[in-house]
Amino acid sequence: MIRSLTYCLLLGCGVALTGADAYRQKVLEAKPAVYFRFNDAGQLTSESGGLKGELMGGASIKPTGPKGRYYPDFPEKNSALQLRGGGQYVRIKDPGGRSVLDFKNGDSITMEAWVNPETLGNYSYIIGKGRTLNPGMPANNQNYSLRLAALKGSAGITFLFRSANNKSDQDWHRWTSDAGFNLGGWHHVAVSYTFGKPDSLRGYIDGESVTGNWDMGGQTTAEPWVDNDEVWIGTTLGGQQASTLQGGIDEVAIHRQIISAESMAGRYRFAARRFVDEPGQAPTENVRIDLHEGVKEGWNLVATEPVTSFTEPLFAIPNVPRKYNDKGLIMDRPDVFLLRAQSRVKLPKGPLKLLLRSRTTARLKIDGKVVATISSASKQTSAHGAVSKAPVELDAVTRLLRPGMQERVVEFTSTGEEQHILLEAFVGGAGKRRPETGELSVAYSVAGKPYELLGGKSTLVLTDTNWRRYVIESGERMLALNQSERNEKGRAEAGNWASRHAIMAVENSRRIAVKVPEPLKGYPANNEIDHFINDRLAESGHQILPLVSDEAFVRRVSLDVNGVVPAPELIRDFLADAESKRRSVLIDRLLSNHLAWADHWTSYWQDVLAENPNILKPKLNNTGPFRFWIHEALLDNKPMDRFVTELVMMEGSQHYGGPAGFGVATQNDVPMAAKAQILGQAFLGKQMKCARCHDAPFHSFNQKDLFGMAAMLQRGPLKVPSSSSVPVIPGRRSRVEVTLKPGTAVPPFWAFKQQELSEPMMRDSRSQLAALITGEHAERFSQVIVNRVWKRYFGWGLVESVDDWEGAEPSHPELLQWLAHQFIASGYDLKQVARLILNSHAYQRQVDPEFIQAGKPAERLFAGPARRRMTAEQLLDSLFVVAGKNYRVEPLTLDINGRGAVTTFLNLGQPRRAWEFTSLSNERDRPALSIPKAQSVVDVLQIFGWRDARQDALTERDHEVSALQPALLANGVVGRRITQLSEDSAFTELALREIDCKALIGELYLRILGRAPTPGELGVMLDHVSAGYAHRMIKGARPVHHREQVLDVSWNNHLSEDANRIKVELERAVLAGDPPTQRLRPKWREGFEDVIYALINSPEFIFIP
Amino acid sequence: MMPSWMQAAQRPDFAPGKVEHCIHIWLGGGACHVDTWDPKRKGDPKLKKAGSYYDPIETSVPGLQVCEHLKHCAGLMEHFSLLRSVHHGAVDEHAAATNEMHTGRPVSGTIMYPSIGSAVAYERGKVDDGAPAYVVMGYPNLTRGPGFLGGKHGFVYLTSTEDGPAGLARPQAITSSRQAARDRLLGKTRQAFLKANPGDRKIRDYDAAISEAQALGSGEFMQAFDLKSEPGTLRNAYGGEFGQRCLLARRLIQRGTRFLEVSFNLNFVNGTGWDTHNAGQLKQYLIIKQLEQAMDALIRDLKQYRLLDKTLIVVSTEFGRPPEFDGGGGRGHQSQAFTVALAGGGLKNGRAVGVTDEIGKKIIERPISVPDLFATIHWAMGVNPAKNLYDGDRPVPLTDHGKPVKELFV
Repeated sequence: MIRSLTYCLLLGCGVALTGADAYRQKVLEAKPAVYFRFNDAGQLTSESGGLKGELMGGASIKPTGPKGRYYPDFPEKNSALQLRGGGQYVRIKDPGGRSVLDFKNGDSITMEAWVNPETLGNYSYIIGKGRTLNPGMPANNQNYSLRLAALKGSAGITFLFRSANNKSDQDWHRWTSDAGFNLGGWHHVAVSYTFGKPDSLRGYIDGESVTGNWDMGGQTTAEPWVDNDEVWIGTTLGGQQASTLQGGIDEVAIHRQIISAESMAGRYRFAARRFVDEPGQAPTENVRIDLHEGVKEGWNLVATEPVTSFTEPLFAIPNVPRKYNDKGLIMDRPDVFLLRAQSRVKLPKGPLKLLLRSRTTARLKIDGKVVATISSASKQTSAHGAVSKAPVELDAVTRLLRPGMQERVVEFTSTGEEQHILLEAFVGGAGKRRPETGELSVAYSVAGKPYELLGGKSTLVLTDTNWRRYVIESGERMLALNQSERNEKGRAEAGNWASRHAIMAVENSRRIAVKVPEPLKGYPANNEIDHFINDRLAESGHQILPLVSDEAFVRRVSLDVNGVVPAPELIRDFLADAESKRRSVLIDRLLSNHLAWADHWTSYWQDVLAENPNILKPKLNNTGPFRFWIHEALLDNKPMDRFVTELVMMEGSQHYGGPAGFGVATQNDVPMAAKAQILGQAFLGKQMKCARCHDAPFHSFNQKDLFGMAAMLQRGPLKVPSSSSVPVIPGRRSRVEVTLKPGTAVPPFWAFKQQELSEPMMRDSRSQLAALITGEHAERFSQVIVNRVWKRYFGWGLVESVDDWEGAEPSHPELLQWLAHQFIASGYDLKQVARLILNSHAYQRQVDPEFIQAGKPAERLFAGPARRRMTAEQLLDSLFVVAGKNYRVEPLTLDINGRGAVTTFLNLGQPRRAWEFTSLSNERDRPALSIPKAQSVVDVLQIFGWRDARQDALTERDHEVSALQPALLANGVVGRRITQLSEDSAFTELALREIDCKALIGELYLRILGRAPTPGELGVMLDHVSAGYAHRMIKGARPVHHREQVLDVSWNNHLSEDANRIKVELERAVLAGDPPTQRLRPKWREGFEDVIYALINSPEFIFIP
Repeated sequence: MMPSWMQAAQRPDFAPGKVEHCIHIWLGGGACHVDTWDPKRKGDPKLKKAGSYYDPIETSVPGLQVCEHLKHCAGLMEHFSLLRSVHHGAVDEHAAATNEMHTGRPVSGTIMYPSIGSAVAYERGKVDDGAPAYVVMGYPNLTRGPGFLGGKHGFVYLTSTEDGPAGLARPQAITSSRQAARDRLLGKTRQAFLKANPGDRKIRDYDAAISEAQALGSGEFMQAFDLKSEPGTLRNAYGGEFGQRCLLARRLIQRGTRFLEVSFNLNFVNGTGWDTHNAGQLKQYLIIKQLEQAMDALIRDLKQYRLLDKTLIVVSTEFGRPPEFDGGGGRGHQSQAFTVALAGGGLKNGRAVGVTDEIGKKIIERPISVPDLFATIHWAMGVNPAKNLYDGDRPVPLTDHGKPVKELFV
């Protein structure tokens, strides 16, 4: 007991119960009716009364409870109930009759719990009785409940029950507190109430009484509704995500008496700690950055443990890592968090200037002393603000301050010895500001020289070019960091999937093996795929086409796997490999470029899953930007059944890229019907578009079937709105039938049963749906996926169309089955299927120019692949890759200074690859809202079939040829940026190499077209550029980089005249492209540019060989 | 939204119009009907009194009034039809309402509807091969797009008359002789590739598109953008950038463009453009004057070229604005009643259709739905508004049961 005595002295408390067991004893003293402590997953029994609880839908007990060091009434090791999304909760069955769980008029109740929510919905259930949507129970049967309510930026508490009348909304009675706590750390919440005595309600947060109001249905003396429905901890309404408390819940108790305010005051004991500067812990070789959650913006700081730590080489922190849940899914950080960056650095001895830049509240400490501070960011968000004046020039070189950033310059005299530098900065802001650090940095200047970013070992002059490069490198570090972070967090989850796949592999081995046809003479084969293909070819008397040449193959497979044309080094390496195995070695090499693989497949799934974010006030059937989850899933090569399951579960972050974003469809009155339709066509080849409004005239499904599936996603009955119907005209025969009346509630059910379900319906209908698609329908699901891969590589599917299989005959049914089994056996590994197909002789043959029309299965023989043109993304990415340039467009946001809420403004960042572009959302048609440089890229993407908005799902894009395509490529800004030899162009570097003119043309051909020029071509091109070649370089000229202008146009001032004028001028400036290099004589340079023009505009560039 | 495609809507029982071209003038932001085409008793932002901001004036059509800053148009009112009772139920938010006023429908989760421009371009095609069917002068966005009709029925756009259409105009820095050299080199690479891939239709088609693009970039169509070739007096009569867009519209019509969306989005004049919240109200008269100067010139010019009867001018917007003033002296949004003005098109003009109450807040006579407005445009162009378009095998009617405003036809 010495330990508790110490705490006692520290806290200056009296004789109150203290120590690791103190909280438990305090609660037990009051003899609760129910008391769950969540310390042992196997033993979910109330500490008093003996009622049993049951963990549902993957709810788990984790060692994340309040820790003794911060909350001295608890042990240091303490577990809690952890919920990460819909469907997860604890169920307590009502023993029936008049049980201890029932409360009627005259009964007193006190409910209390500890909570640590990670995000906050409007109302998140801590505990409630009834309103479960359990079969046989009436709707709205809430006897009582304690919930968290989202107040402005904080979590309030609310008490809700239904009176026994149970007829109208007036029978709801809700009390909500006026104030709340800030997210982060554990908090104690409680309410007490005597039914029938409306004035008796008391609410407590962290032991203190809080005021509140009966803000719905008013107060009442009416009897509450009482029945034998269950008590649920953590959610309600069938487990819907919106009602689920995502985060931690602990120590949940219900008392059948009023617990006094005095007792409540003793419930919450928190040992506040201050951060202690520990110079000894700071690194010297780089900068360590810790993130702390559970803080308020301001310097009255309470220390918390860092939630994550990482390093950067310099005090320049353009990014923070993502946060992941234990499924490895992106989740939201709280609105505000603290970043602490530190290092021990030797500054030059003597006087110098320090430059601190931050978006909001920050301070710089050196050896424990605050030397510079920045105050909280402006809160002005109306669109009527003014454009700010041009930023102050610190000198002629240093990068200018960006909109939304603040800076301080202070004089400082350095000792010249190692000093402890500590940067503390808040990120984000109350009201869902995006957690962007912007250009958070510390730099110094000696004797008026340009500022240098401060770092552990190195420094970097703060020029535009250096900053841009640093941001790109930091982005690459984040990519790696995020990957290891989510793999770490999701390790157990990945293990679960691995065991599942082991079981499936065994089951799969018991399937009847598909018989592979015998090899045929004269029909070369690389693997089993070829035996199936050759068999049909021979049968119909067709010859195969010869293998495509090596140089054509490397280009084809590079575009197919990595989405871009091959780099010269890749081609050289390939040709250097032994001829017999060079193709398969290349395939493996390309497949192991995980990032490029992910880049190339992401846009495919964006189309198929209708990813449709809008960066401004999403109102056009918009989803969240779940592209980031797609990309990460591909980067990690997640098994496809896991991919589907995560999509169906719709968990994680909604606004920052998690699969929860898939669950959204703004202004759509039945989002889940839209999602059911997308899932059906993406993974089962069921096209249910028509079933949204009526029974499908050309398909075998009814509207009810779609709504049943939608209700599974909804986790409860779903009403058919009148907008999802068509009127029936009496006496008239119609082609379509409407069997559901508007207003009909459809319960969750699965219409596509292949057999009677061997197991009863799971409690969570979303998990059930995921299991049905990937388990029950594994055969169909696998076939649909392998067919999608096949179609991508051959131009035609074995089944057409890929997302509507009804009545469609496969061209090679056995091959389809065989491939699907390989896919299952591989553990749903997409790359494995790709590897099989890419290694086949069939894939590696010459293009069959006749293979354009192949509507009927019999016409699809696959003597060779069909002719394909690059997709818009392949084209754009390849153009920038051959020119060695970055897109360098504006960040994709209309709120560049980060003032708005993420619910209104997304920031999709600066695209690295084409899939990252998006609708620029200028439905308002305002110059101030234009994003001209990004628009120039979007224009080209769009004209080549990419969709800026994806209101509906689609696999096969518009392949129309139009004159606008080559026109835009030839004359548009993108073409100009690629052709013109700017300082950042790889073509410029090429032209500056000391090689002869012939070699230069050779290199150019290799880079752009992946081959050597023919003698004829070489002659023509040499004619054009050999004059003046010897004197092309301007002696002594160095690359010139002009400092970028800063344009302060953001949502908050876009309705000003200046903002509009600035953007109109910018549009004009963008047309000029990137300024040409000063290192080459203009006349020669232009000739060389003409050659580049002729190569990138040639049809050869955009067709896949 | 009632996707009621299965009950074949009726073809109008009166004769269609004979319009060949449509100029769709877009007043983005929500132009205030009571400060332009539907004047009411005067209000006062300081006293919080609802009503018009300007005085009404008489027009060339007896009994028909407009606001004082439309005095040139007032003199030409016999060429106008003011649809004063247009309304829709889209959420009072720009993107959703803009979408409704371009596609004639709210967003649906299952289909992307084409814009009016794409639908007209699809139905009527281009008048002449020398010019694209659908041209937008304004920012590209989803609501102006082709929806399920596909990219072929999309638009060519420009954001400034001086720079010409994005991607079609040869960059100013590239001289014609340099372009010729480029095309000669490109010719070599094209030839070589065609030769290496005989019989490949896809490659041949794309190669042909390159030739077409070269023709488009150097021919008759590009000359349309040479506004300097017009007499100075005429250019001056059209006025500023918006006027020049209208002049360009006339020149494009002469070269065969079917549908033009001409955006009045010169927000640098008063900041807010037509979205006159707060102080945006103060300089609203400046943009009204620019609008009407250009309209005046356009109507006279089209008449001069005998194009006015063949050209329907639609002055549209996403919603109107309430007669009440906001705290900053401007106005909010109102979609329950607002005006769309039509001009020319050989319609029975010189009238107002639909009546709003004494302050322009509510419709009291002859409401005109967005489908009705769209049906009027289609029918004026001789296209049955009840006919079906097809998204794959799914029939989608051109308008959702829109009925053309009959008064304008008979």
